[in-house]
Amino acid sequence: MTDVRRALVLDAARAVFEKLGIEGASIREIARAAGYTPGAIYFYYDSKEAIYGALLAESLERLNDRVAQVGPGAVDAAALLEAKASAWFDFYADNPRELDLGFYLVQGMRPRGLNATLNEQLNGRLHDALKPCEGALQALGLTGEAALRETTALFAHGVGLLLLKHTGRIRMFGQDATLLFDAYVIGLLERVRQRLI
Amino acid sequence: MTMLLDADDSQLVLVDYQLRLMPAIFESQQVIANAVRLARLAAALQVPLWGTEQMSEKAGLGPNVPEIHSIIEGAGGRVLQKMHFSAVADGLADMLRPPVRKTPAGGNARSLPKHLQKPAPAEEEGRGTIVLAGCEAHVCFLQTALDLLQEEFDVWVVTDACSSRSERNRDAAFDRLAGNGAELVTTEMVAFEWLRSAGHPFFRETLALIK
Repeated sequence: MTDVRRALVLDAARAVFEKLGIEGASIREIARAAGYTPGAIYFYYDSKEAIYGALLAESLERLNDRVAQVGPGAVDAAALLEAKASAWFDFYADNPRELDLGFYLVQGMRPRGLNATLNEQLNGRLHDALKPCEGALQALGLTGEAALRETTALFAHGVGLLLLKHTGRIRMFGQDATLLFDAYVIGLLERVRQRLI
Repeated sequence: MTMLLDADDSQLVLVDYQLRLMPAIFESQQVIANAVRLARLAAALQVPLWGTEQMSEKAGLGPNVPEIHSIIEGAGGRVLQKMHFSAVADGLADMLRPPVRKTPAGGNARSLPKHLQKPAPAEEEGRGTIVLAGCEAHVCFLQTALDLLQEEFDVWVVTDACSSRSERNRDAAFDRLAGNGAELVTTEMVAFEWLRSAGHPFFRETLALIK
């Protein structure tokens, strides 16, 4: 029962954060959206930042699930890299709101109350979603350091494309974000094969 | 007149849980944790919630710790900034008297069933029961509590959410308060008396909060 109510609060909070942003949202507003008396939310969370942290944690679990699902049929490390990279890219391409949610953190805007431990856990889960790419690059012969560097560059490239896609700016170039991302992955694999990295 | 706390007649006042004071306080982590529990319960049960902060020009004690500050702010309560040790000397009693609003009659879908509801006290009476916790127990807190008693409020001291730098001072404060007519309680007593029944819609949530 409590868990059902907690889920109800999170659903309402997601809608409120989407509408008002983390700064504009308030416990009162979230309570209203959840159909609770103002304040009843405090049974479940002690601040809107704690709710935000819970939402982001859930989102990152969904991301990790998506990444974990792909790859068992991959014939080699190159195919695995393509599958894992596409998994997180597609997750955020299909769910722009999840990207918004995640990027409050990535932007370095640390909501008050998201304590250091929680912040570290959330960043850790984001990194977990990228680690299979890192692992595949190592299997292709890259050192740990180079694999991390290339995974970071891959993520940066993907996030840049997602940003262009979600804001509609990609139309300015008449390009397709997914095709460009796939092309980047192919290019990355080519550079690995030719030992340019 | 019941001997139990009544959520509809209560207000919660949290005295001086200030950033630069708390590290010196005996059992401060437990004390803060209980104050946060009380604040969350009050906010959830629509018990008006207030705070105080001791101001001084020389040795600033800082604002209330953020976890307490954000609940008071989120619940729409005010923090009284005071120069006197007793918050009453700086206007706390006026803040606690009406026009504090009662829970609106009629309730909503999540209110208690009709047969469990108590008749709402008359509007003009205000909420005369002050549930009080804070630091230091023998200075600002004690003086505030004694002044509230003097002002004829019913004062309920939540002992496990109060402390001083030394245990001895804290206990002396409790003795003195008990001798002057304050009721000494604990966080759990407050929680279960505010609820009254395991049939309360938020019984499980309250249990989770207290554990």
